[in-house]
Amino acid sequence: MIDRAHNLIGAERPDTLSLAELFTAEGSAVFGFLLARCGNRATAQDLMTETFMQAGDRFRQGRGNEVTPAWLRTVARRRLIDHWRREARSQRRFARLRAERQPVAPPPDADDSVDRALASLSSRQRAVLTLRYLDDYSITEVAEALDLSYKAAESLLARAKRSFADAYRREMHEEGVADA
Amino acid sequence: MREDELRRTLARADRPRTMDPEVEAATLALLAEGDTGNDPRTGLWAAIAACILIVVGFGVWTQRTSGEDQAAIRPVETSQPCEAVGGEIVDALTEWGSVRDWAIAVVRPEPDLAEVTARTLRSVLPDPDSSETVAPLEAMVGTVRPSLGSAVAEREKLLALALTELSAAVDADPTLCLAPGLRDFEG
Repeated sequence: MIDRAHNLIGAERPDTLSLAELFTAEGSAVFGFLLARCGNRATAQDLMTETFMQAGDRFRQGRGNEVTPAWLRTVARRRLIDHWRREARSQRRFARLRAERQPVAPPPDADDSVDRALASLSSRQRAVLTLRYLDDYSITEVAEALDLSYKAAESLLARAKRSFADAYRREMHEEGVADA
Repeated sequence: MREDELRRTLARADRPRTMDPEVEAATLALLAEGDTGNDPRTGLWAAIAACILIVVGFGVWTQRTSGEDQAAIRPVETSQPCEAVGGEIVDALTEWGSVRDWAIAVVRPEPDLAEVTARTLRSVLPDPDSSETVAPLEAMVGTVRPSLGSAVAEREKLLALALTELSAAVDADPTLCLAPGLRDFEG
């Protein structure tokens, strides 16, 4: 399906492609995009569905040809940022409940050292790290997306980088030991 | 770790992944239903997706009803319309003994969270039959909407909505807080 995605969906998407075919071609890529950033399969699947439902609106408006892979990723990222904001509000409100849920378990398919290192971060650390280094957001943009001050975003990013680097080194070391 | 190295390392996580088959089928069905393009194969897509959904749904239902521990649990099915889900919650909550069952049904994938929820609900709603209790519950049910996503995400969302609404109702009218549990819970 993944290979088909890249064959089917080029920069110029054929007008005849239906929404369902677009999902078949691009669904796993959008899901992977979201999963890498949020680390939770259920959330990623939820946001992926919402993204494609928004694409459906474009189709119904007769503007289906505007829905490209880049468009899907942009919408998915906006959905994810909205999710992070909601999550932050919810965490503030239900701090005790959320505290009992930490740490976040690695996703079931965390078979890679990067996935496992990312899974060891908090949701906020993961958000700031992926926005900065996967989506090339500036620190100002990261701060705006996550409703943080510039200083807070900078500080969170520094902690996220340190935590990820430590976790990744541990994962690599453990893989090395296992291989030996 | 240098920034370029960090960027390259993180990029490895950004790759296509296989989603859960039932989510894929459900999403496909939704999209096929809403696709008003001129593609004549749309109807076929919908029919195929519906068949997949029926098979998957039957499998899930069989699995859920087969375990002995399922007998006491009132499941909140994702396919139920909003009113039905709301009705389930009100029914469950107005039966004092089934509060825990409801919490487990809503957040079954996370038993610890279900316990916390059950404790919280007990502390907030010591008298579920009173009109004071019914009002916030009705407000809560009014916010419940069917989710387009996976079962787990929907249940978490349902729980968050329920707790948010309960909390807001108690904030608006402190006499509803018949026990101090919720305020403690809010931290």
